[in-house]
Amino acid sequence: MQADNPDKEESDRKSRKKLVRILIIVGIGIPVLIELMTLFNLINVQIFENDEEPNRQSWTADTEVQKFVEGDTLFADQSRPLVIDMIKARVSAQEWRFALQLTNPDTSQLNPEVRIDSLELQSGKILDIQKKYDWNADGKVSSFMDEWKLPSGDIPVILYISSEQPVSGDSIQFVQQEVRLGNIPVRYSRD
Amino acid sequence: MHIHKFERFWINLSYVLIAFFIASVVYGFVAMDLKVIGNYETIDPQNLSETEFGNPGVREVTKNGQTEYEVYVQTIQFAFAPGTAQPITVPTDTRVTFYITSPDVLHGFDVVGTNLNTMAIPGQVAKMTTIFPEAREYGIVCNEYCGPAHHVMEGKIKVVPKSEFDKRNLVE
Amino acid sequence: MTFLNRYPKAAKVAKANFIVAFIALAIGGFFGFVQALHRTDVFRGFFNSGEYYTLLTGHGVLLALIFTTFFITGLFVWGITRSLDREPENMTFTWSWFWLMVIGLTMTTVTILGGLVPDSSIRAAVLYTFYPPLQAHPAFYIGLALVIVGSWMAGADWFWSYNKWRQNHPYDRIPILAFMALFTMLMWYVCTIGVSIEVVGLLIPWSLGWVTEIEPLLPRTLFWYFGHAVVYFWLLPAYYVWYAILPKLSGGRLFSDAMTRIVFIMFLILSTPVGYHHQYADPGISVGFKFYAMATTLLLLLPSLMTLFTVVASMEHGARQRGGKGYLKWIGKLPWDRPAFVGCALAGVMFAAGGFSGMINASMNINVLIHNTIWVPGHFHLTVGTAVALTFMAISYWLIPQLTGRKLKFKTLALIQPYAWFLGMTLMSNAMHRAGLAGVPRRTAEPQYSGFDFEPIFGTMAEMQWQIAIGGTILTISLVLFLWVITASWLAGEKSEQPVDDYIPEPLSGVEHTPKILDNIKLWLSLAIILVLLAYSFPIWEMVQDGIFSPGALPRPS
Repeated sequence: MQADNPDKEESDRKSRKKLVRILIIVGIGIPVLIELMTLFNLINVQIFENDEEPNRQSWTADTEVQKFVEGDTLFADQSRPLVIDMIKARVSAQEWRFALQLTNPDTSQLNPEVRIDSLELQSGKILDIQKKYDWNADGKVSSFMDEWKLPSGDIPVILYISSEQPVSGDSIQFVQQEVRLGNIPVRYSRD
Repeated sequence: MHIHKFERFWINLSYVLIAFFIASVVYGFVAMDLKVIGNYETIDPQNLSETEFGNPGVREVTKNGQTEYEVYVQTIQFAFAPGTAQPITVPTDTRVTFYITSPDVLHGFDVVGTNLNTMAIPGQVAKMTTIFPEAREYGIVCNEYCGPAHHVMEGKIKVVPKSEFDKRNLVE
Repeated sequence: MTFLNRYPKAAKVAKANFIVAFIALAIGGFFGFVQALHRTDVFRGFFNSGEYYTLLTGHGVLLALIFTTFFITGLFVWGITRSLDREPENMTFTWSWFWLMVIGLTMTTVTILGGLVPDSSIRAAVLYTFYPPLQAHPAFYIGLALVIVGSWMAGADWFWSYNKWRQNHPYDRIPILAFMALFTMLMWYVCTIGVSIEVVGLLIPWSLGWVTEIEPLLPRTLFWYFGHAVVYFWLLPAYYVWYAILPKLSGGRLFSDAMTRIVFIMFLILSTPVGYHHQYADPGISVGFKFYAMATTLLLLLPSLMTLFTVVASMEHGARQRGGKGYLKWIGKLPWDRPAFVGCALAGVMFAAGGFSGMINASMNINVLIHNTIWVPGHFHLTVGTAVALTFMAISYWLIPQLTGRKLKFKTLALIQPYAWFLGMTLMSNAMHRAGLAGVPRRTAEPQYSGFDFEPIFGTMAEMQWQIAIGGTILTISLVLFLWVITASWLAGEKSEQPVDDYIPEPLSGVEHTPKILDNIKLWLSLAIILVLLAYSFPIWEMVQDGIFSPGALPRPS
């Protein structure tokens, strides 16, 4: 190691000095800059604080699109509407579940066959369900309930549901509704 | 014991800083009415339905000849009752007192952007009084971890002008 | 001849402690990286939001309880051994406290990680403060209790060494490196009483089902009896490094032995009675007690401000020895190309900032604006996250070679590491403080709400979220650099008889100027206990008057 020539040592020292200089400019200089900018902005706002409403957006968003909550009616413009009897997220440490109970409000009518297609979740994920509910078989049942497991932490925002509705003439077909959900109650559940 | 004169100066400066902070806090308390939650009362968290908390909502009371409002709020896993399903509606320029407790776990009740910020502890009642100066909406956030859906827990306070305050929504 | 050659048995124990500390640092640090991306909505693909709270518990416990404690025990084994010039009295006893702590931490960590296993009933997503009625698996609490008992045994080990040394040196002053360690442990004994009563007396029986109801305010109060002093348990070892080693790294000497002792005594006396300043927003504690806590807390500024003076004075002395001149130009003469110095110095600078945001937290009614917002993590990432963690990382570059007998490898990476930490932390903490002022909550997986918007004073929420994510990423890179350098040096560093210059010079104002009363352990310990009784006895008596477990709430599994 003693045979290192002095030129190499000198250039090592120079490149080290250069590194330190860069590190100080980036590692200390940028933080100082950020803090000074923060201070400047704070003082600015304090001096000109009479201009209130700095960053507030208006609360008119989303009033055009109807959001469905407990008690609302699905397929309201069809012959066989359904009422949301209960809708909630039941959360425990182990799992999150989405629970839905639908009722046929007009017991003189047949219960329409219902298919839960899918749920779109807050994160953007789609939960495919594709489950049919044939609640005519019993004849006396006017509502049904089901629960589905959710990925922990995610809440449904849109429900895609289809039900059999009579269309022109005698034919019936599945009509799908995109149901934008309002605030679903989220509750702790012990199971 | 030898203390360098610069160090002596620095220590005295530190005492001044400390005194300044204590004075600011006292000033806030006394002159600006900026208080903190104190010791109000204890309550049985497993029997809230038998207390005023069992009937959630805004109620009107008369104190010293003035009309005031009281809001009894339960913080539960995972909602404010009231506050989440429907907003808490109160009028401007009137004393509003919140009474907050929890039947299950610790929660927070934070009116975002204000100093109406308290813990909700099962067994204790948090009491805080304020006057809302302007008509606007505020969000309420639970800021104490309360379980897996903690981040879903939010609510709303609607402050309406005194003249527009609808008394039909009050509870007894 | 380095520490390893002189004290091989102590070196082995110290190394074992550091290994555990660094593993905890790696895992806890990784969790922090995930959190920084998740809660800012930059990337949520690692884990889901339900699992976030398990990660958060792991981050807090592994970093703030395990990394810190094990690093401190490793550091103090080194310090006590070196300053008293004695190997530990009984290696069986020494190894048994180490292994007890390891068993405890393993139990606790397993319960936390169980939360990441689907459908597991072994869970502990209760966060590092584990407030009931949210309930973890009993092993979580038992593990923590074992870690604390192990730490008590470690302290006893060092007092044992001190007593033996005292028999051979009846008239000597306590050597400063030993003094600081012993007084830190005295403070630890005083403050862990609270959390042990909480964990052993309340939480373990409750988690095992022997009692069902629990009154949440009492365990919370007992936790915070411990919870403020614990930050000084972390901070005092950083001060230990700044007082004892940093002057030498700067090229100089410690400014004053006496002031150093006074600072540590003040921390022993004042650290614990201030606990209520973490409970300003709690119903059930009267304003009077909160005011008393506030006043004592602000007094606690004094030893830290004094430390600021001493550390800067010591560094200035060092810089002038190296040829520094002028009012400020001497700063340029400090060894900014040496990783150990840089880390300690930058940690000190950041601590000053953290101290100021701490003054806001201490100021009772001002605090309420930022209570439980992300301002609070912004503050403590400056203090424990930098002043303590970065100092620990930086001094490892100087300490580990003495324990392994190997030189440092990848010195350039080691030099970049503290600068990167400082940059990343400024970005992250600055945004956290600003977001906290707008009301953004802490401890929340998705602080994005649908019913209202946050209103920052200036800037936008999106910009602050990116700042947190970028800052957190830079911190993670810095952490990886540290782990890489340490691992490579430990395993493959060039062997050497003198891998670092480990000589520590005498202080400028030495022990001969230090009043003897400062060494009176019994006096200061009694004073500390009296102040604690004054602060806590009446409020706690009030709480238990209506029953220790009532008014009681039922447990909720975490």
